[in-house]
Amino acid sequence: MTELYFLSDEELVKGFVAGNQKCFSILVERHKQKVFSYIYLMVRRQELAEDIFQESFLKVHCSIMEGRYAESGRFTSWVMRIAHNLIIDHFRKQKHLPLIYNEDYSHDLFNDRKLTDTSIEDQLVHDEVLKDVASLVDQLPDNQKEVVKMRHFMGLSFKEIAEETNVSINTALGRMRYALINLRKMMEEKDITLSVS
Amino acid sequence: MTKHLPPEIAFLNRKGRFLRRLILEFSDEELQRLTPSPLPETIKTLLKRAHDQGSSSMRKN
Repeated sequence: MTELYFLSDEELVKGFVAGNQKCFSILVERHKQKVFSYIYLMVRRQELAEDIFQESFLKVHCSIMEGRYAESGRFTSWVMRIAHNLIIDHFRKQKHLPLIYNEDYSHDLFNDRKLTDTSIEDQLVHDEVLKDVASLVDQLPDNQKEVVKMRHFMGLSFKEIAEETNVSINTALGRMRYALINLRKMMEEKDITLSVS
Repeated sequence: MTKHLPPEIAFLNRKGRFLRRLILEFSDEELQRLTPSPLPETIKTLLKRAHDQGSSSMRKN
């Protein structure tokens, strides 16, 4: 059993296909935190996250048995995409979409309704814009970058951010304010605009 | 064929892409500090269901 832990994901998949169920258990153990964190951050409810987590790995189990795993070297990403499809299915059924609106800033870069246009062309442009914004975020000072990522990419509240980073809520808010000011400056310098019309 | 997604789904897809990329940059320990982990019972049930799923599929074959 111990030596199985040293196998790569691909070797474990092969072992599982050959009939060794323990290989599947190790894959679950190895990837459970990333996959669960992803689902939890998307749905924000532990009980629901537990259900989707189970369904995701059962789908993974089934797909591997049917020989439908062919993503060499990207096992975690593959499982997270399966989980994502189940999350979308869930919200379609519930007709309840967990949009996160940021009430703290009236001009929130990430909540612009224009960023939700649906044509493929617009989608591509928006993806490019978001990529640009993400690369600008990386250029911010570390404490500002941390707040932006926790708030916008991980959906944490300012109270949660303050607790995680050991600062007061006011400090976290202040860092976000400076981050937005800096981002706007960088966008002006690089002539990046978020309005696509 | 152009496929039009409802704005909410498009939003979730974009959020999902960002999150998936970001999560790969974090270690499991860092993620444990930011989010809960799956319950041990969840893992146990999952493995049991997977085992049952495997056995029934083998019977079919």
